Amino acid sequence: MTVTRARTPAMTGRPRPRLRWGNLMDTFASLLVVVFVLLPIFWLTLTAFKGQRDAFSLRLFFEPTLANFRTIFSDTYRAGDMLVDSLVVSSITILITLPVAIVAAYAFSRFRFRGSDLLLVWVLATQFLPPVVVLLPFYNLFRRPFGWLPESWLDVSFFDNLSRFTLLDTYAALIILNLSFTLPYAIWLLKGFVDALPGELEEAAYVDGSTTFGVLRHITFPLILPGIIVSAAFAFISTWNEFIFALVVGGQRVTTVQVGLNLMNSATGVIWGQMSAVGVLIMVPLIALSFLIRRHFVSGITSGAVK
Amino acid sequence: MVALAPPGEETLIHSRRTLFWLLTPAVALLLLTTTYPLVYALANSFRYWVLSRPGQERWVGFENYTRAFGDSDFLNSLLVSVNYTALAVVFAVSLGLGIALLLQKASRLHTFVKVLLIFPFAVSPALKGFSFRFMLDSHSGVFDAIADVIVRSVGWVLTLGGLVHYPAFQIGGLEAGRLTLLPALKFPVTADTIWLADGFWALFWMAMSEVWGWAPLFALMFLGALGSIDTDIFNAARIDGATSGRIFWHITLPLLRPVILIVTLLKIISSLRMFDQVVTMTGGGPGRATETINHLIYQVGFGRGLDMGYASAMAYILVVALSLFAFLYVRVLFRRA
Amino acid sequence: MKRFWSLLLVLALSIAGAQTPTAADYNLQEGKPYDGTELNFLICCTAVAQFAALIERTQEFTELTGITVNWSNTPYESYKDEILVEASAGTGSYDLVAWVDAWGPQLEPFLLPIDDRAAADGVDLSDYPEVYLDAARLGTDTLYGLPLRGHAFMLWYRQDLLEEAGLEVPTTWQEVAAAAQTIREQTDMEGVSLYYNVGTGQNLFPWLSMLWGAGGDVFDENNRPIFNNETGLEVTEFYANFIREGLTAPDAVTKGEQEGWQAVAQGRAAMFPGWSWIYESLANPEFSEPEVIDNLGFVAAPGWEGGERTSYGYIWPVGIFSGSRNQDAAWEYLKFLTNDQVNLELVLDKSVPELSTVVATRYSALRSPEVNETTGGLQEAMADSLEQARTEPLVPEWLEVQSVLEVAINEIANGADVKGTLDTAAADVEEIMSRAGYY
Repeated sequence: MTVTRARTPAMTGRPRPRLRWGNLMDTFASLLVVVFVLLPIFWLTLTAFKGQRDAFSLRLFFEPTLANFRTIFSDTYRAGDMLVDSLVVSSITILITLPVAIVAAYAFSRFRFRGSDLLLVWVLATQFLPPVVVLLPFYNLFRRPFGWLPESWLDVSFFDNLSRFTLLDTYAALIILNLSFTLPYAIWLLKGFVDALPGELEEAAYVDGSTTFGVLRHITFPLILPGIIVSAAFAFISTWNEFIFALVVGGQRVTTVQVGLNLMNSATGVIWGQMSAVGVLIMVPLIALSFLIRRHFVSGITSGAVK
Repeated sequence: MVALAPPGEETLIHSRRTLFWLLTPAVALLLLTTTYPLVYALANSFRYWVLSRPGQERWVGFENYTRAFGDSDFLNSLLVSVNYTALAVVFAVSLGLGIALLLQKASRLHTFVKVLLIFPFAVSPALKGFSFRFMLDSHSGVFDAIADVIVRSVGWVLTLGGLVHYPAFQIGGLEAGRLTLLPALKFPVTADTIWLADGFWALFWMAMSEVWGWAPLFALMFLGALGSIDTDIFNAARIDGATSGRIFWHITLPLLRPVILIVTLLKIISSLRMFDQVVTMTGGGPGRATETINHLIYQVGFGRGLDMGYASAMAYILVVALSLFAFLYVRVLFRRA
Repeated sequence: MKRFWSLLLVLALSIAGAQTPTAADYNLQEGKPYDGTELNFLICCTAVAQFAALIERTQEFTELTGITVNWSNTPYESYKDEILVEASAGTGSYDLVAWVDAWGPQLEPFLLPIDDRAAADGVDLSDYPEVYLDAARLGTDTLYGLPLRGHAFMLWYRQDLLEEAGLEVPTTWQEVAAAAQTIREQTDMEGVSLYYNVGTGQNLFPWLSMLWGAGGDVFDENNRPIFNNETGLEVTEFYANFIREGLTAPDAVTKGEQEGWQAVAQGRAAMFPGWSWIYESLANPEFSEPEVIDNLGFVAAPGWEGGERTSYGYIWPVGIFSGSRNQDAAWEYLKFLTNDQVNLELVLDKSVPELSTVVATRYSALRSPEVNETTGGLQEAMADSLEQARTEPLVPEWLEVQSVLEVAINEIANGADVKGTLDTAAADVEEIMSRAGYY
């Protein structure tokens, strides 16, 4: 059933079918990829429109309901507000991450200096640490200015005053936290794309007297644009999917969609329909985004012609 | 501190000052956000610190570390994490590469598929775990329904062809046995298989929930890297009569090498951090077969033990091991190119 | 809409009582001494009917006292993390907190003792089941909270199926096994839906109930593990036999309690041991098939043949953070939340489906004929069950011990040797307790 559904748009997208083994295999394999990619999402979407009882059945035909969506947008959950919070946090994080990561990646890829390997590993080192052991320090960091100083060092009333400047439950705190993992990943990924780029073009530009930033902007940047887009998508989604920090540092005034998703796993069990509805809601902006930038995903092949 | 050396034979024009400005923003931001937590956790790894016993904190030297190496739960979770990582990385990278190669050639169908590739990654890890658990359910799971149809049809064809005797197979019956053709591979793809009750399959499906999200993303990354490559190379090779196999081995793979290396390293790290699916899919079971290191550390620190000192020590063992691994990885693999 | 209903409720109550309730009616201080105070309540799952209803009732509290209360809504899986971070950081950003009984002893250093306040305001503790108070005392002699939400361990069953098979309602686990056997033979249904998975110790609910009934226990009086003694072995063997002999579905080894009751709701199983709140789902057409709702039966959890009928109580106490800056106002709200009148009215009000709850914690509500009329005697059965109920050992190390035990039970259900597995588990538990300084 699923297969049939997924096949329909794909078939129409196929140009002039020629009956050759290679083409047939190619089409078949592509469709297999479509099924592999879409099956769980299809199932999730279906469940989002099912009532709690139907959610447990394999029925493909059922009475669709919007009740789940109504619930998640109600005052109890306010999924709309969560969506806004997530969008703000993720977008700003990416806007900061990309420029910083691109120049750093270029440096790591094209320059060798003493300790460059060590620095590169250090950039990633924070990612080796399980989140649970840094939850408390991050919380301390944000709860008030100088939150990392032991309480006993200064008198309590002074701290009470500082507490008014808490970053807890603000966009800023979540953005700073997200930078701590988007930056390392973006730097590394982008370094890979620059590495994959032959250096001759840049070399020629340097000979012509370009500055490093000039080369970066006019030569490297356009050439690795497909890589940048994918890295940006990666970083955006990682931020989008981050849960435990968003909960502990945010959670009340600033609530991301992931916190919302986990609310559906309640003390009385998983509410499947509502959880799927949030899951679908979480995907919608990303899917919209990927259609918006699809030209950059798919035109990558030809961008190599930029010379 | 910086001695400049051009990469390979390239003679790029650069200066310390440029390098400084390229790296400073990133390093400064990372220092700002991570120094305190890293130092804090390191300090705690040498302390007795149980959250439920405030006021009893004290320095204990390497006690937490020695405890870890004698802790069978810790050693078990290391093994589980390594197995999980191996499964997830091998499948994600090779599947990603396969999809990238398949979609490399421009066609309208391929264009359509490429746009879909980002979707699975957009499903959050917790939800992946929940939905895979749900789909693997033996009553309402869609996987078993599909696997069942496939096995039944394959079995039916094989039985009809007289190729094999498939004893437990009954058309329309409730009973279905193990596919006896592949007993060594443990391939019980039937309606009565309880995937999550078996240590190996539970870990396998946990890895697959991850692979499902990452492999298409990797495909996109590989396609992105291929996009930066001048297509003339491929055309020239084809004109010279090179087979697709040779083009793959001698042109595509070497060109993709930097991206593959990095993607693999990042995937290894992210797999070792895997946490959400353990909670939402298996709870660490059956037994402790899917208790990954990150989940154990969480359990020791917050979930059940509240022993932040011990949790920090286990975390730092991981940090040291991974740092060494990453450093060697960078040294050996990157510089060989 | 919700406001309308609560207004209606207030109206209905005022007609019934012929007067608007005053602060004194809820044992609150008069004259709004804490007017303008804002309280933060750390809690999860605000969509759970009982909590949602309490949130509605809070408007009335605000009118009477001038105190506003923000209920946080934390995802259940991460609820304990949030409590620990808040408690350890000691920022005082939350005033009140509710917790699950098993976590209680670990939170003791962060909670405010309330014995004096309870005594001064004449809170009638005898109205609560002893097991609830044990949990609210965190295993000490000091009261740290009052019961907010609580459940009794019950046996849920399908009346029609038991009748057709000519079976009596089981009163012992042995009878449950026999009934499951009969149903398995006569129908294609699951006899009893059990749950052996690893997760949050749920596979220990039936096991502990059996163990206590048989006269066994987890620890002896010196906190040494004795669950691997002869009684423990017999009970564990018996518990594992349910899945080994096909009296429960083979995938029970991967299921939790939440999935266990769904087997009943979907009409796949005839019996299920679980908590009393599940009535809200099993009797709800949104979750349950019609034939299940029509034939839903329940009885206090079974006992052990030749032993006792020791049941099991599960409770969420609510208390005050010792770091709270508004302890007096928080105490006012705590009294309101656990007030007998509120407790009673909450279970009686069936006007809004999402806010209709069966969860009451006080005997005065549980034993009320009016309340029992709405559920066919569920609360009476709960009260019976709770009178002889126990709770898990209240030591800070329980969660670690629980983890060892649930893994052992899961492995045994998956085919591991009973004695060997339990002995290993006992050794692990002994190590945990000895590290914690018990011996």
